[in-house]
Amino acid sequence: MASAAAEAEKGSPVVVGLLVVGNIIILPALPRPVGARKGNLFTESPAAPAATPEPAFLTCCPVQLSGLALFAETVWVTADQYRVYPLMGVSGKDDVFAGAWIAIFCGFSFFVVASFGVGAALCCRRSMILTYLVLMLIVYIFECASCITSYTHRDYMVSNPSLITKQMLTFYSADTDQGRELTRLWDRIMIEQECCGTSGPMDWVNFTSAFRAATPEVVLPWPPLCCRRTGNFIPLNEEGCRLGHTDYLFTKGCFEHISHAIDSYTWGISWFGFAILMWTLPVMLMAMYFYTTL
Amino acid sequence: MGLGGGQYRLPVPLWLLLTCLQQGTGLERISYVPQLSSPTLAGTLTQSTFTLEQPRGQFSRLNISDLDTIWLVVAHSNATQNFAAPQRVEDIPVPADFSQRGYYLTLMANRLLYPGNQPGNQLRVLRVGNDTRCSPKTRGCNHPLPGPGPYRVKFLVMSDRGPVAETEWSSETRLQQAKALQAVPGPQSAGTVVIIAILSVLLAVLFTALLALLIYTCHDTCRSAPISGPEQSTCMRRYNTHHVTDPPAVGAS
Repeated sequence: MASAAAEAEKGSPVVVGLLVVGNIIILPALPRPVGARKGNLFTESPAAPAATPEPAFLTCCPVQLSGLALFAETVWVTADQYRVYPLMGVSGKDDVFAGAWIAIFCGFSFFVVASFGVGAALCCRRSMILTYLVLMLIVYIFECASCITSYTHRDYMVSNPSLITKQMLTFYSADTDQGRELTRLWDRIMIEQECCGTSGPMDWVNFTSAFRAATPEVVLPWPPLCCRRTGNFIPLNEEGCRLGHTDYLFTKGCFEHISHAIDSYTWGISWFGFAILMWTLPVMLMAMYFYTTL
Repeated sequence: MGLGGGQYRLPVPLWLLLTCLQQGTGLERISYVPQLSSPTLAGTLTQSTFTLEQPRGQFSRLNISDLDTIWLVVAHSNATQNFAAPQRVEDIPVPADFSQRGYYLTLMANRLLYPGNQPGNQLRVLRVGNDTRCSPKTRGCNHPLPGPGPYRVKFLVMSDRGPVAETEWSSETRLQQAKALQAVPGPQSAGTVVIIAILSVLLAVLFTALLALLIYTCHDTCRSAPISGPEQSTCMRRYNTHHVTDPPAVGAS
């Protein structure tokens, strides 16, 4: 797998091979000088027999692949398909998305530094390996920070419904900018997911809210979008909705959907990043060992 | 005996008075207890309203005519003993009298509105406190209830001559009281602890390994002189130059 020149060098070819495979992926973007074997981009003599057996199968999740996957996945998180960002933006802390942004840069950095690491492993130079190690450690620290930030904020927001409920009661139908933004978000969620309130329509009855201040309870105990509607967006039965009959009112709470959205983002940042960091550790330890043999 | 005769004669007008009084308070009791509507309705109890089942078929007695009005008496729980059925329509208390009298009458209806046959799939309820448009000083206004209660209700049938029949008092109904929600941030889940602990350990391992490596490098370069053996020199540099015949000492530096 490694070039034949590695055979003549001091560094153990097995370790070099492992390092290279550990860092490299099938790089389709890079031109292949000789189409000898996939991934064998630095080969200068294609006819040379592989000095090492293929330990590549032992390290099938290379750091570069992981870095690119992390990059792509956190771009998806930042795109916010579920559009729940206002929930966190209004509270002033959007650490789940901050973690996603850090992970975007970390993912790309892993890719770049790992490419450099491939070169360092093949060049067998101590200074390059040391640079590689220091750079990887810096990216490692940032990635750790991203994982921890994201998960801690997710715990704060959705481990129990009370924070989301408090926000909804304070801002829904309020006449401020934040209120309008949050009202739009809740209206959309209630229509799309056919739910009402955080735990159910009784949230509006049991607690004081900005909505209650605007609309007397006798008129409608809960927001009008909690009523079931026809295809033409006309309530099926206004009296039934006011009384709270399940045929005319959504009785499911929206918290399940919101927590599912935020959990999806967090799992993608925290646990995925955690897995990548677990994998990167042995690669770096191997690089350190390799450094000592040079 | 004169006294006895006198005593005997005196109670006669009293007896007449008693009979008249009894006829006046001769309310027929209907053994029906007003019920709250089924709890499957989310809006059964709110802050200022509650919903009752309709008293269907309870007023099909001979002494009640179709023209008699059926009122709902809404009373505070501790005012039920003071309740006296109003004799005339003008005496009927309005919702504004609730604070002093402790009860009022509302939801005027008649027997035809509460027919006995089961409708099947229709939901029939009475919502007490449903009307915000009428004034509380209007007789029969179904104004929202002023406080959390507890309330007890019963139905009263009145004709032109006065009250005719009444049902039993319902059980106590307490309304919801809205509180301000106290937001408690969620507790840390097990995942946070796992991630923080393991990542800290990994970082610590890497730091120490790198530190050990740097110390080792320092030792290597500071302590040991670069002994130029043939194997070492070929590892440090690869010269594709024409200095291959130079002594290895030069190549190793």
